[in-house]
Amino acid sequence: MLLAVSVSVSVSVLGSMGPARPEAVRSAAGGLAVTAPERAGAGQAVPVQVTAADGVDVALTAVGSLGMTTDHAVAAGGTATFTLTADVTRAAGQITLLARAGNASATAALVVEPGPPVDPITPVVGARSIVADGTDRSMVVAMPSDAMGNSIADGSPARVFRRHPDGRVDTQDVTMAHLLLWGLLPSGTVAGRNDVWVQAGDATGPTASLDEVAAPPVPFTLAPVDPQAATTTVADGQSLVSIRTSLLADPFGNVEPDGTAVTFDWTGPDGPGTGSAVTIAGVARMSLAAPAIPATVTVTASCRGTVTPAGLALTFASAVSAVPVVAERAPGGIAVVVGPVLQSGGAFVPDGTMANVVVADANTYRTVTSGRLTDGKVQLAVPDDAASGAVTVEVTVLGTVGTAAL
Amino acid sequence: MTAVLEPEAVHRSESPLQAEPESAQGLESSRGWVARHRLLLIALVLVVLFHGSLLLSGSYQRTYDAYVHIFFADHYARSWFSGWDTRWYTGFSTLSYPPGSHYAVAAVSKLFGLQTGFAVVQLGALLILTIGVYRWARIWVDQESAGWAAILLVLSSSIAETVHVFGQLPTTFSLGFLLNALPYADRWVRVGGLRSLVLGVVCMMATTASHHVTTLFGAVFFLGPVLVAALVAALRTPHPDEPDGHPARISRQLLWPLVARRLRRVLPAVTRAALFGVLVVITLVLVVLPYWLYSRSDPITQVSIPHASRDSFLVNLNAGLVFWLIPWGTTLLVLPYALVRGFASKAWPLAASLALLVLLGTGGTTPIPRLLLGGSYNILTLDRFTFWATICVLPLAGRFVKSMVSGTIHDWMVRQLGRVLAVALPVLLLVAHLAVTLFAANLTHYRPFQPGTIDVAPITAFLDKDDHDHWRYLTLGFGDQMAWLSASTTAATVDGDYHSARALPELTSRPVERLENSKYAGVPGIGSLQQFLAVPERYNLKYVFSNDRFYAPLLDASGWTDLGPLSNGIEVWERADVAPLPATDLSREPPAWERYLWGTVPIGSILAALLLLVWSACGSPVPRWPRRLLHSVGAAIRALTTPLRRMRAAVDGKLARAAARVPPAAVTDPPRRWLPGRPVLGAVRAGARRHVTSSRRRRQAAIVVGTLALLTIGTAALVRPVPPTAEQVLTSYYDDLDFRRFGDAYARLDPATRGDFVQYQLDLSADGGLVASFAKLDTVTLSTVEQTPDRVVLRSTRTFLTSLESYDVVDEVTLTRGSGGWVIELPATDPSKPQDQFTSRAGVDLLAQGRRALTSGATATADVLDRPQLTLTDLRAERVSDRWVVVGQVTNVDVDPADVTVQAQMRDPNGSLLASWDASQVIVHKLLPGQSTPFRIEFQSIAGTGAYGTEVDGGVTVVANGAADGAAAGADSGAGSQIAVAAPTPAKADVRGPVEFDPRTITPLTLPADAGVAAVDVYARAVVTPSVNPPGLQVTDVHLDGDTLVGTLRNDSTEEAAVPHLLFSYLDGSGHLVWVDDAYLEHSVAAQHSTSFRVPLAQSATVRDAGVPVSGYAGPAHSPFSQTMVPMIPLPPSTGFASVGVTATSYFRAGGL
Repeated sequence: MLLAVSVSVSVSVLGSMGPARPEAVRSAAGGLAVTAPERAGAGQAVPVQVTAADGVDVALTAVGSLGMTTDHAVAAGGTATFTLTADVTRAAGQITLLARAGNASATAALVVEPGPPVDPITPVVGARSIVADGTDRSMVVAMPSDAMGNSIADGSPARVFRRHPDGRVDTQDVTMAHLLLWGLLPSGTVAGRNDVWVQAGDATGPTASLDEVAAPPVPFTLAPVDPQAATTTVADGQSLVSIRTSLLADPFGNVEPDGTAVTFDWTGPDGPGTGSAVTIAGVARMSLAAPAIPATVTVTASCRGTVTPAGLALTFASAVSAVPVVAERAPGGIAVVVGPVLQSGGAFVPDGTMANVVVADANTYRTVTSGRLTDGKVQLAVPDDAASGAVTVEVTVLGTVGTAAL
Repeated sequence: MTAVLEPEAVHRSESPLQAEPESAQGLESSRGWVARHRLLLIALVLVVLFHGSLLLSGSYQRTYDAYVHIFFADHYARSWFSGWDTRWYTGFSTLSYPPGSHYAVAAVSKLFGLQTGFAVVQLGALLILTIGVYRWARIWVDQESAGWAAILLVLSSSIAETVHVFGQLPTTFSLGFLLNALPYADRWVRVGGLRSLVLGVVCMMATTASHHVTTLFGAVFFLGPVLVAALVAALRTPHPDEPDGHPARISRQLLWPLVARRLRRVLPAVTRAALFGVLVVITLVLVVLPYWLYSRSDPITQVSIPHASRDSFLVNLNAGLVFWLIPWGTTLLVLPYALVRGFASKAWPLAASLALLVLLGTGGTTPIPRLLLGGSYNILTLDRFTFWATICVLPLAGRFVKSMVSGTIHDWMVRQLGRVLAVALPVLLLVAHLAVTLFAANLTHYRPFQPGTIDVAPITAFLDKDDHDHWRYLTLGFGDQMAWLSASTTAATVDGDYHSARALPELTSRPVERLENSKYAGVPGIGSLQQFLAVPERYNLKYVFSNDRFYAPLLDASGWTDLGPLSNGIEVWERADVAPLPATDLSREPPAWERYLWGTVPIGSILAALLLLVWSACGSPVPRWPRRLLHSVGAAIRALTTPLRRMRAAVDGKLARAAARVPPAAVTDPPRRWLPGRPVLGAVRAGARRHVTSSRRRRQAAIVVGTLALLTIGTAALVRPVPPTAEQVLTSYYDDLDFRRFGDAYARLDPATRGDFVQYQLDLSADGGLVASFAKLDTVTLSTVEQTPDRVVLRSTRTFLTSLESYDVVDEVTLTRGSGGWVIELPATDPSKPQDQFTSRAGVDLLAQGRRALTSGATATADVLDRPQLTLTDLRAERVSDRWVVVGQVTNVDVDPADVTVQAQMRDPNGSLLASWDASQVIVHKLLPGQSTPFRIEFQSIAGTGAYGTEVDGGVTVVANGAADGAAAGADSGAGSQIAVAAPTPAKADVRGPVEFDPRTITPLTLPADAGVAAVDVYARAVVTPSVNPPGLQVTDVHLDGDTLVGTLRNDSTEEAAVPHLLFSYLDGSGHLVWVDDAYLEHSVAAQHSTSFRVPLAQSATVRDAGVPVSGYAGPAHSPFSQTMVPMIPLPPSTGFASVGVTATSYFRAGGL
């Protein structure tokens, strides 16, 4: 309730700052009369005189926004003199003065007006980030106050400054209303950092930041990071092919922020795959492992709902031309020696490369086992208890098949 | 039973168990005070030297309960008259435990600090207890035996365990006062005297002040025998004006005179005993009156917490060791002697009490304790009876020692075995006794019951800064040191260390002592923790301090962020977007009069008892003015009781007249008395007195020495290492791996084929997965596949427990026998190597920091970032075997990484909230800009309150006996990747220890029968987070193998994916989300490595639309984009789904992008 009184008083005395007015308000009753300025600035000392008979002890009670204080003075020369200190007048609003002496009393009203705005005026921006698509918007709010902490008077003019990402500064005139200053901040089409600050009178304050960010990207493409390497990578199951997106930017050319997720999907010979990467400077990169058998892998990507219109096809040639296999009967089964398996250049295939062995006879016997190559070789023991007659050993390494017969 | 009669004359005197020659008594009384009480003084010195040194060196820090009592003391030290503490259980009443010892520690802590204060008070309690045992034993045995009893107390394994293993303070504190009260009670009943009455009652008040249970049960097992013995003594003590003797034959005319004579003897004692009993009951009520009021208003309605002292000690050998064998120790050897001697003497009430305590202390080994205790059985810790039994036996054990040192037993041994063995055997017994006691006192060194000492200072500093104490916290893996942390801070935890005071239904409804050690508490334990972590905002729970990485995968999967370790190594986890505690936290302080009563009467009783005991020890001097006062009070009492005394005189006169008709002594025979144990004792004594020839003595000595030698050899043979079997080698190998004893594990490998140790360690470190790094090996089952004399192939099934789920790992391992025994042939390791030795991956580093200056103030408004914009799509409410499930997809459409919380609320037609739950594990909580995740929300009831099902298949209800509910489990078994619905393995009926559990179990929501679900609302909210996982997980080569989804997970990042987690989005023919499933992979995936996975396909048979409208609320999104589900592969129609997509995430230990 006190706050509401203060507001109404502030509105009514807009622009009436300055020293306490000498105009007196007299309220006389029972021989007492209170003389005090009608208006005063917040924080000013205000003289108050109460007319009373000499020697009478006069009590002056000031009831204001912050509470109530009482002071006493003995009338001399027909007047008791009081001074309302800055502690009493620091809050804007109305102060009711009540003078009492014995059974006599008198009242007067004093309106305390807020002072001029002082530093800092702290702007608050929200949303703190908006999309730079020309349609999104944010808002700045500030509560400028005078030196005593009173909100400045409604209707007080102020100006909002905004430095755009391109360095351009524009202004917006606003006025104080309901203890607040506010202004809309519509988005532009250039992503980046905005600085926003508010000035009222001679007072200003720090900047608040407003980020304008990119909208979802327009359709983009995929390409190998190293086109030459992409054509020479073979299907060894290990080699990596690095692919990248084109620059991911929205319709206004704003680059997607760092850390934006990009999902890659591909189909390979052993089934589909999916992975993700993040953008750095608008480009996302991902390393794709070569398949273990010769094939073409088609990759697509999506980012913030935008999917690449066309897939990227990567072809992987066979890594191995031949798989030497030696099989012989041994105690407890068949000993299968695979290798040395060489790549096309003559080097061993990578250690750990899987060799899948199928041992079968002419009837129903069929045993599948596998081993990993080390230095291009692996030796496996395959039980042959149920085998009968001629036995065929078929070994597959990186999609190339080698056979042996027993 | 044979009644034995013996001359009454023997029992005329007030002499102890065995009457001493009058000359000896006279000699004893003529000696100086120090000489007479020399054994007591030795005992007191031993208390200080032995227990004092252990206590001051911090033995209590490794105990179970010490920190709990220190916490209570801290509460009173902070606010003496407070009855409410907000630091545990969202607030609890401290009136729930008698405060005497806690106030004592609180008072002493002003001088020494809390921890030293506890040690000082415990030491004081032991001194009082030692004096109490000495004084109480004097009721039953002679002074020297009582002295030995005091020494036995100090050196008993029971006290050592109680003080230095269990850390019980109220037990020792109260028992000391109880035992000191008993001599006064005895004297009061026998001869009266206001001084004895006052001292006895005040000491009982002090007993109650510290531990009301000691008063309750002490009245039965300690006070009861004393009163009975006093009444029996009174019954047999002739009145001064009574003619001596007893008629040889009791005619019908003599029946009433004889009864009247006995009544006349005993009535005054009965009156005094009744008065004492009434006063004890009154003090029991008044001293801790607020406690009784609290108990009445807040009765303990909690689920019983399993305690191993109620197990069968023959089944749970560890419980038998800790709760029975160690406290008894070598005293067990004396127990038969004590029972025989007790029942054969006037100490038979003590012997009867001892026998009952021994029986009750055996826990669940026999059904007798359960039958005797009835409903109390499940809330009592029965080790307390064993503890009291070991105290109860002390007077008789002291008598045994005296006899062995210089009495009958000594003489018997000299006669039977010779002087050397008569000295050597007691010495051997002493050595064994001391060894057991030292073992008990230092048990926590050999077998730590608590985690290593945790420096709580960094944690309290963390809580103090930046308003972190505005939220609740939770500790994991702290043991009872959580109580010390609580005592060191004003921050609150949702957990606590005094389960009787729990108030939250989530805690009281399950047998979980603490969330802190929930991994030892079975399904309710881990399920309870999972729920607290899933919906932490309900409890304003924001921080978890973890000292056990077992919980790390669960924390990460539940959306918690690892902030890294403090300087003490404790890992700090934070949950974003949790509201702080309300500023006006509800305090339920009891009324002021209760608090002031609580803060004055108990501690006042203790102080009064101490002062009166000292006053009594000084000879009870009474200055003149109090004497006058007492005289006046006495006169007033006499005046008030004059009618009663007149009535008593009248009755006595009537009885005297009747008793006078008993014939004179001349015609009497010696009266005979009934002593059931006397024949046994007589037979033993008769045998002992037989003459022993020297040859027989030598023969017997040789037998004893031979027996000892055989025992020694047998013991040595038992402990001699024998070559372990192949099964033992493999089991030990797995144990070594489980406890990270890699050197020992390496030593069990075949030296001929194993690589070097460094390579072995590297091979082990290649897998830091859920099983390898975050699991506890539970069981190992071995079976033989092949066996020859020097080679065996074993199939091992290892069951691992993790905070997420349990795993069975099956391996076939070959062992060969070498010269040093069986060794393990490890299979060849995967020789695969990553493509590049040095890999670079560009990334984005994120940092969230306020712009404000360094200040202790709260976060400025300007520092709060915008909440990221989210969209919810594909929302669907479903019923799965009567359970309520919500699935959907949430997308971060903003440009900042988001820490997402998704909550579903179920409402009735009136809009009233029926239930709410959060997406916990089946979601990716940290989303990059533009990233989506499917989620599944299972509405749950409080864990531990119903039948369980696995969360992964939706929490199938199972019936209590473990058999799956046909309609539910049978039909639902294919609804998830973990098809088998494992009912929690019921604990063995006689074992209440750590039980088996399936961490994937949940407790499905149970709605009231009349509840109608009209709508489901789904809310998604997020805050900006810098803690996102590095991208780079790739799911490749996905294909079907029958009903199994097969694929490869490749980690293209530069950090190890410690606990890979796959989410499966099952879509219908129109591309809409129908079901979300998940699976954790057992192995980690090192950077630039791959691992394969096989996950059973879900089945749609039991998934049906709930028919309830679902609304999603994710806030406005300025530029929402369409993020459609991307199916990876089509599914066969038999599954009921059209296709499935896979989303990969993981717990990255390094964390951060």
